[in-house]
Formats: sequence, C-alpha cells, structure tokens
Amino acid sequence: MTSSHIVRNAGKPMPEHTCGQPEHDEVTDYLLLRTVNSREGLINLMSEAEAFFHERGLDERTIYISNLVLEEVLTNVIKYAYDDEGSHEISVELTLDPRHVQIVFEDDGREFDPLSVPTPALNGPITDCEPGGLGIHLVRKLSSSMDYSRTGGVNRLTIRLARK
Amino acid sequence: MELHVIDSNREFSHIALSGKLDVEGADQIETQFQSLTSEAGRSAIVDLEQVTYLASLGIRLLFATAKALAAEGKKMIVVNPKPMVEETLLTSGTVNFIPIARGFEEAVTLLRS
Repeated sequence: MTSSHIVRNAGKPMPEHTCGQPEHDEVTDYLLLRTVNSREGLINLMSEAEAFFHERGLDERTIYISNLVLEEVLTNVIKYAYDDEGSHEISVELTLDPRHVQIVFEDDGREFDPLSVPTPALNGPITDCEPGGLGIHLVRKLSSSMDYSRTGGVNRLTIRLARK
Repeated sequence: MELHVIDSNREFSHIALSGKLDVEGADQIETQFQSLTSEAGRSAIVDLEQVTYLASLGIRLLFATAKALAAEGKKMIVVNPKPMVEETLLTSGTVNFIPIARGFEEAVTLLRS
C-alpha cells in the first residue's frame, strides 16, 4: 500500500442491528475508506469523504463539521498513535441516515481514549495558555455522541453528528 | 490557501487569508504568516472573510501567533469570519484571546484599545 492509497467501499449494507430500529435510523448510505498514517493519506481520505458528502446532498454545516471531525481525529492518530516509523492502516467508516452522520475510526496505534482528555484551560492570560487538546475539545463540543472502545489492540472511536 | 498582504506598517500587518485553513492550508502559509506578524513583532489584523474552513491546525497557528505577539505587548484581531469559521473560533474558546471585528475600522479600534 502506498502512502496515499485509499480503499473505497461504498454501498448500502444491511446494518448489523436492523430489527426494531425506528424508521429515521434506517441506513441510507455508507462508505468505508482505508488509508495509512501519513499526511498524504489524511489529505486524500478527506477529499474522498468530502466528495461523498457532497454527492449525498449533505448540508454545508454538516459537511463542515464532518470534515473538522475527520481532520482532528486523524491528525491525532497520525501524530501520536504510533511508536514506530512504519506504515499502519487506519479505517474510516461513514454511515449516513436522514438525521445523523456516523463516523467510525479504527487504528492499531497505542491505546488512547479521547474522552479522557481534559478540556484545555483557555481562560487565563494567553501567555499562560497552551492549545494542547484543542482538536479533541472541538470534536467533543460539535458531536452528538462519542464512544470509545479498545478490542484486540484496535482503538475504535464512534462519533455521531446531528444533520441539520 | 493564499495569503495577501494588504498593508504592513509600523503598527500592524493587515493580512487577508483565503481558502481552507486546514492541515494543508496551515502548512502553506505558516512561515510567511509568522514572518509578517510574530517574528516582526507587529500586531496583526487578519481578514478571514474568504476563509471557507478552519480546523485546529489553523486555530493553533492563529493562537501561537497571538500568544507570541501578546508576549511583546502586541495583539491579533480577526475580521469578518464566515459563520462556520466564527462558530469554530467560538467553540474552541480561542476567541477569548483573538477578538473578532466586523470590518477593518473596528479591528483598528480593538487593536488600539
């Protein structure tokens, strides 16, 4: 796999749990993207995702926030998740229903629960403040929900955003 | 991402940014932006009207520059952000340190206040 390789798998899969789901949660579209931990990989994945959001007619605000979430989470993974210089696959699953965008990130980097990151303290004099954790803080504030799990050496972060 | 210098005088640099201030955009302008502002020890008025997207790498660039300027007793003011860019600045909390002005005149007033 090259540093900017994207594997795309789009369609309308049967969701795992369809029984008893309310009508508004019906899955209407789905895209699985796989890339590697590089800046080029991030840029290509973001470009694929944005094209998908536009194709599916998402409103501009939802596209903006979805892009922001993708960029923040993937930047963190690429910068901090790996102890070696090797190539690692990161997968991003996008699922659209009429009310939500769901983004599921999976990586095999070191264990990291973004929900455990404290909110950056940005209330004193600017010269005393550090912007560390800003990206995760933004994601938390803009998401409807965030769930994290670690299974078999894989971080799985599920983020849901409300559509307008 | 493009950076245009509208004016650069003893008091401030007036800069207009356009395009996406994302991971790629922040990379493209960082060196020039810092050399015109924090490295020159000059306050900054940054027009964001043509900026269509701002993520945390962009915010970090603005924040780091504003912080370096504050250490020199200088300021950074941003002007006319689009609604989503403004929402990102507000949500991130950085608006506490980087005031938002409606128009150049208000930016100059804020700079001198």
